[in-house]
Amino acid sequence: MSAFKNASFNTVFIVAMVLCLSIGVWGVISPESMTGSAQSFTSYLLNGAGWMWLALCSFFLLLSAYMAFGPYANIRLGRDNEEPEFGTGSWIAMLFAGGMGSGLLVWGAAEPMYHFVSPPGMEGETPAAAREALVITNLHWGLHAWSIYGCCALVIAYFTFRRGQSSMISTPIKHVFKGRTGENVGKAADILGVISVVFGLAGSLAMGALAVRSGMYYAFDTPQDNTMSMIILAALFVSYMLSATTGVDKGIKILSNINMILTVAIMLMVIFAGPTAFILEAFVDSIGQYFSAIITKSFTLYPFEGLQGWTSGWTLTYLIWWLAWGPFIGIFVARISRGRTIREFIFGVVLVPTLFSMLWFAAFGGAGFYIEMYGGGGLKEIIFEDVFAALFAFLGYFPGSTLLAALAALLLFIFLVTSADSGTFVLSMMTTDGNLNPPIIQKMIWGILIAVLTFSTLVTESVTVAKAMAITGAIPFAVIVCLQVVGFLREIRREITEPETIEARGEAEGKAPDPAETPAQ
Amino acid sequence: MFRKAVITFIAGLFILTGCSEDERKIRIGSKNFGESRILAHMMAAVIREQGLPVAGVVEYENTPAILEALKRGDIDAYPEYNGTGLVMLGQSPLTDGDEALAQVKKVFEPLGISWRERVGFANNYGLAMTPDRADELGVTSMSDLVPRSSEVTIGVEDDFTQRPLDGLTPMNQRYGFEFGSVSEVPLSDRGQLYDQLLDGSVDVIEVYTTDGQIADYDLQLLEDDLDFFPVYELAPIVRTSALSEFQGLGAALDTLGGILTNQEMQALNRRVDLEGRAPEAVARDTLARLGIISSGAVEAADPLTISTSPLMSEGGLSGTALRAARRAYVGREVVIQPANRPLQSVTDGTARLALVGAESFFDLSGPTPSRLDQYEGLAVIGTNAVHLVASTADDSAGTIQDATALLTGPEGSGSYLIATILKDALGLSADITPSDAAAPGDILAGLSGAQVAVIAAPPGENRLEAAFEEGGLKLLPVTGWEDGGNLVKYPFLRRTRVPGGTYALQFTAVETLSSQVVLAGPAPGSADAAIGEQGPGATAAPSLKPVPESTVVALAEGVSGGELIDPVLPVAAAFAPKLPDPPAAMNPSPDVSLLNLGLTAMFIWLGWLFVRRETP
Repeated sequence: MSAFKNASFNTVFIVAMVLCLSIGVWGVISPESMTGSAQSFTSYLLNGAGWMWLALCSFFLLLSAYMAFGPYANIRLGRDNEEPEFGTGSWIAMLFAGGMGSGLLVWGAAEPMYHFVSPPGMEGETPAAAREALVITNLHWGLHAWSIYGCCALVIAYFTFRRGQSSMISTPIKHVFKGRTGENVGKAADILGVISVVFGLAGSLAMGALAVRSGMYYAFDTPQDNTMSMIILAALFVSYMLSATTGVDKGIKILSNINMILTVAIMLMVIFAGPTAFILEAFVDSIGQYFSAIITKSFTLYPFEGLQGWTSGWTLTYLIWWLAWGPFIGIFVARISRGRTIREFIFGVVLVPTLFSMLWFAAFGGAGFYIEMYGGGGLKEIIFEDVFAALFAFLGYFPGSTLLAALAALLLFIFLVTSADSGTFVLSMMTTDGNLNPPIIQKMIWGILIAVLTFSTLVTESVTVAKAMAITGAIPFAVIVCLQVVGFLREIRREITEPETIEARGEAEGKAPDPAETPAQ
Repeated sequence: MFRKAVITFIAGLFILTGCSEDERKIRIGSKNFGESRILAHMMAAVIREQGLPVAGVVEYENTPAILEALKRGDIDAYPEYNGTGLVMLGQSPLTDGDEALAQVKKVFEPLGISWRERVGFANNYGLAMTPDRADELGVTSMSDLVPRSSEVTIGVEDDFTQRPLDGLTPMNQRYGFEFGSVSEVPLSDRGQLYDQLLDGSVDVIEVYTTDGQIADYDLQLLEDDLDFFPVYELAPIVRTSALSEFQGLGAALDTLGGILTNQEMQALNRRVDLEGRAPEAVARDTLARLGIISSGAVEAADPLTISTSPLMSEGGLSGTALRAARRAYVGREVVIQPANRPLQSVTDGTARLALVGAESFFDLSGPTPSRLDQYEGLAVIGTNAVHLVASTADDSAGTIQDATALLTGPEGSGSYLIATILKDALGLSADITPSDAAAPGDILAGLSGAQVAVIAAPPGENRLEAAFEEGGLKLLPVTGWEDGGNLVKYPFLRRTRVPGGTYALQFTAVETLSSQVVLAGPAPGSADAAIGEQGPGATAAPSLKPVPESTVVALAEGVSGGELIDPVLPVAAAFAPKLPDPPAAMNPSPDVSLLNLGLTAMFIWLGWLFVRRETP
């Protein structure tokens, strides 16, 4: 059977599968102990070492900037004169669809409103609070988020397309530790990567299926019960399997493009059917505020205000989410970025999506502020009560709200499909030693495993388990990314050949001879 | 292919929204109170029904502002009273409606403003009293009140005291009133007048005759036998320029002619002012039922639900809670929903708030009550006293200790919980018999032999009073509460006394227990979970969000009295006292230090991995 061709059931596959199943069983049998352990582990690290998370993620941002503007900016992720594999539009659409997911839609109006009403360390519902709210929201969804993705992806893409090595989490690590140590650490990293992708995906899918369910409730008044969740899950399963098995250049690309069109359409509706001038003013205002506050905000932890709780509940929680999705987005974004230079890559993966999400939050958040400040209010209370209901209540302020609600529900669904199909694809790559077009059988197995995990989460109605599953993997993965970055930085130094010692007028200038290069001396 | 799809799609969306800014739309104004809002939305609805474009309803602070806006053309039409129209142009108001309309049409014509058909009701000033007080004083008309006026206190809003022609002073002069005292409230808090009238702090209040409260509280309007108050009949007024610009505008507004009587308008005002429904929904719903517009009511947004035990769902406390919630949740419909375990409904998400007695905050299943910290008290609504009611038949219980059975409300309700506590605390042998009764009277009707009904209600509650009026009931004291550790074990039940004469045939004060009744909501999650509820993937976690602080403050402000929440109950953060922190230890948590030491070592190791030389 051709589907089995190239199928590989290597150590990573087997160990990861066994661990996934046992953690899954733990979650189903004793959801409370599983959630409790996962949450207290994560909470402990967030409370105890909050500084480290913020500093680490800000370091990724600095690293991205260095890569885009530093000496390595013109290195191509591919052969020196290779053309990009995907057009820029589809490339951005795909990484956006995989990376941000439905969160953008759900939190678009809600998050700025939260910060507008209770900004940390200042009085709420003032013009200053509105300004601060957009800065904080952009901090959570902007450069930091995307540079975490950017770094996770860059380290993989460099080794895959520049060095022609396998597209695995372990590849950069093998350049840190040589020999058997490298093999073992690499295997552990790969297995951990697989596990965090599986649970991150299953958790996000379970929560997403519930989101679609309430979306359909608001748009079409369908019931909100378990049967409905199962129907949605079934539809999801069929869609993402179809999309994933047809490969990156067909299913995933087409869905991502549709997704992007819908996203832009909804955003344009909000901008141009809402208070257009106000929104665009908010956008331009937020650009200046965000970029001028980026340095202080990247390192703001509120130790003197006693607001550590706020920092871990918002900023660090966001960073942890992005890190948790890192292994999956890293491999996926790397996979679609063949043939770009590092500068193009950083601009495409970090800057363009950030600008887009800034516009998005200016539109949704700005319209929300407008409703509260000039439009009679009433949105705030709904947001504080139920973020999801608030999305549809928010859309209700616009003309053609039924159409908008239906579009939003559809968009939520496609966002999930695009996350799940790229996730399945990535898992198959990770367990076939980095095969860029993994065999169908592998995709089937992982697709089914994720569906089963999602199913059991939905049946046991344990959303908290889903969330714990989705983000706990971030903590060990943070260590892996650090190792990957070290391996990457060590290797990329070789791209720039040290300038030959310049002999001028008989005098030895420049650097001292390297003893490693000239052992005879 | 995609580019084409994008363009078509977006173009399609724009056509659907049909937004072209330069199209002129009809702008309707309203004043900032319920009746004016309802009528403004009715005008918008009938105009829309004619296929004319309407921009929506703009609200104005007061009459001079809205009239100025109409004159300047900021708005095209708004609902106005003919009496007000005359006063605004310096004319004497008239008491005859037809005459007033003819006059107002004449004086407004030069301004380019046209008065349309009257809607049918007249929102005049009037004086209202509770029927009991009116009987006591023997008054039915305003003239009847004159001889007794020195004994009574009148409640008025401050606008009324300032009106030159139809206000308090002219009224006093016309009738010869000499009121004992005058209590004033600001115009924006007119609703308080009714609260003051009901709680007896004033005897007579100045009202608008279409106020929803008049029918709601069954108040008596005193007849204006000297025809002092001018007539205030409502009619749409519109700029004549708009009439010529939009064909059919006048005819559309005239369809509102004569559709509402005073009683009907009272009912509509009641729905907006007291039940908190959206004016637009009420307006459209009414017009649809009258057949004036074809397609019906706008669906109301999700109502805010307050869950409470069936025994409390009708009483005065739920009225207070409803008023407080409606003030805090502007423009939101608020409903009371009876449930056997009100706090449980908050957890389920079927209700946002719960109205419960202090006892509901405790889990009584263990040997000592343990406080449920997943809820917090938001505002004090009142205090319930424990009523132990027995029949006066010969075989009845003389003390609570003699009771053979305790009749209570449904399992989980306040009365059931209190009965459980009493049984345990006083060592009673009686069985607890819960029932699904919806009113205290139903439980009391079931009393027989030595059974005792346990009812939690404010002392002198109307329905209990009514049941006692019928006779055959007596109130038993709670005896023996001080023995044993009850005061410590059940700190949320306080000792109190039902004063003598509260109920029929109850001549002496009765010792009993009381519990505070509060509006409760979900408490914020425990502080040790550092991970926030939010996050990009956390889309549908149906977690309970605490009520935001500003709303908590608004809720508490909505209840007169401003009593503090009993400190044994979990108190919302907005009211929690700020305690000084004891001096912190120099190293508050050595484990965290170790963790950070480990992390630092890890980063140093990573740095070393980066800089170390290549091993061959």
